[in-house]
Amino acid sequence: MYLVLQLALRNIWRQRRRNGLVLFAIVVSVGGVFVMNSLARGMERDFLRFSIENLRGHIKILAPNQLDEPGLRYSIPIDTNLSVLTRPEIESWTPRLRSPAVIMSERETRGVEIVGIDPTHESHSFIEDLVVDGEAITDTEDQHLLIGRSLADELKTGLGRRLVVLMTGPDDNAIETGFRVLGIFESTTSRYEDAYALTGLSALQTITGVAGFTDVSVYLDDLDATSNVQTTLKGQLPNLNVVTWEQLDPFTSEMHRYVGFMVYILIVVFLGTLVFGLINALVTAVLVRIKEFGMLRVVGMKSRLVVMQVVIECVIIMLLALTIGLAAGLLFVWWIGDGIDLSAFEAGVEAFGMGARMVPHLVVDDFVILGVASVVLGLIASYFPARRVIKASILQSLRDG
Amino acid sequence: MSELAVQTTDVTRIYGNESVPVYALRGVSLTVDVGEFVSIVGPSGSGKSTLLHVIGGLERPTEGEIIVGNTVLGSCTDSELTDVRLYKMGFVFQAYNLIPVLSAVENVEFILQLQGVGKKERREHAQEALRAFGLEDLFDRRPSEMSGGQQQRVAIARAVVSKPDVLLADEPSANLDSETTKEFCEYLQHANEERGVTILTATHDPLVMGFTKRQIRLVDGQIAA
Repeated sequence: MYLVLQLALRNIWRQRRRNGLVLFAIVVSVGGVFVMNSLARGMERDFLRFSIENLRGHIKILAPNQLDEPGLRYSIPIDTNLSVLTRPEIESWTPRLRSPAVIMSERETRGVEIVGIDPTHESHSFIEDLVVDGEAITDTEDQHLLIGRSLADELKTGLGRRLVVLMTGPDDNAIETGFRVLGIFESTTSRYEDAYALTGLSALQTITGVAGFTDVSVYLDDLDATSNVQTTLKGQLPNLNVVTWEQLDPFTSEMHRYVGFMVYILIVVFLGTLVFGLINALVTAVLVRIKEFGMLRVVGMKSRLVVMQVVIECVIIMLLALTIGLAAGLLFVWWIGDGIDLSAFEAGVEAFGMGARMVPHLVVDDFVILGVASVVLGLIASYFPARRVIKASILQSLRDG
Repeated sequence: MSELAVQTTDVTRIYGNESVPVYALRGVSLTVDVGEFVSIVGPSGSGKSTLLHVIGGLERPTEGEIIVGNTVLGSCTDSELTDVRLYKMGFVFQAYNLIPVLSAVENVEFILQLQGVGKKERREHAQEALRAFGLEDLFDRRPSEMSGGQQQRVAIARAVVSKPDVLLADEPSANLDSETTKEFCEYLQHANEERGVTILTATHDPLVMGFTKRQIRLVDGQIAA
């Protein structure tokens, strides 16, 4: 084995220019796949994050009919036993009271969703990360309004100004109430800034006369547990509607799955292309040394050792290129770690379910798959030149060299 | 009665196909005793190299039997033939055929390494073989850093280091000038006389023939005399 390894290493060095080019091609391919993969994973995470953080959660518990008729008519009674939500798979849950509303300033009118929140339970929604100018909602009793920068600009309003909110109450009566804007938030996406006006949960319950919530968002620590937890909760809360984020947002769910699949397509396409180039380069590299291999066989080197030498040469190049490629990819991903600014296309990418920054995301499984696939491809690619070597007769090899 | 190193019986080698057969060897029968230094001579195309190749197990005869030492080559698998070449034969070619990425001493060691000889022992044997052929200053030189004559001497050292039963040399002087050929032949003679190696060389070089104890002449694939 040492003999074969020694020969392989020296031959790699002897043909360093040729092998260097092969190595470079693999490094670019592996590094490229790695970076593309990380960006695709970032997209995938964005889809998921925007869907779940968007006041949805992994699982949503709704009052019956709430999906068909969003608003205050149908609500979950405040005395509903939600202790069933204390489960190991559930990281947090938060009740909200939400209603479509019309919001009016002195100058403009917009349609929004007014949301009564319990700020102490909002650790997993986008509300946790808001940058607030003025005062945030700190208590369920807070009766002031927190609106997005984008909405504030559209309403031509500002901090301390008064807005009127008009909504339909639980008995279909119109509820009109005034709020003072004590906070303006900025978010990672203007989608949140346009869509929501936030206030305290208890305060909104008092204003609307609804003694309960319209929905409860449940956040899990493992995405894959969603379906099981849904089944369990359905059994424990038979009078409520328990749905998953995928049922509420099928488009994002499909996009999420599509991107996850695309990652593997990328790996297959890049590495598939690479393997053809690699086989071509290796066959050429071996053919120029065919006489040498013939001579090794003349003096008593067994065919399997000759094959092993070719395979080892190939695998060494592959492993080296893989290491450099992954390191280069990692370096590049680190360099663009804050993400690629897509704000010039913000409207488009947000409609697509992504943020205005494409932030790469590393997934260890992809590392492993890429690494294993590269080595396996190296082995496959080395098989063809090795076969060429031992298929030729010894004398043919000596003559052709 | 002398012990036989090589025996061929009615060896025929046909190239081409049935409709246009090309006879490289026609019923060649010969014996070479242990310790002999024999040259196979004849004009180009007479079958000298083919005879060496079939004796060396590099190709199989179309008909006939070859025995090297006490091994019948015809009954050997390809893998067994490889072992026969490794343990019982040494080869010297006109193109030297050294391994370009190995130094002189490593080239000689290579055979012992394939045989599984330990590192220290094989290094000692390799150095001793190189010294015997006047190459003590070239242990660490690679083939590209040596002259043709030096490379051919390394090739002989490599061929004899494992004490093979037979050394087969195919036109070993073809790339050497007369002075180097003479020197090379003296080393072959040294291997034959001092180390007791049986040598069978294909050549049409009179200088080489002059060093051998017996000549077998081939004409059109048959032994002429």
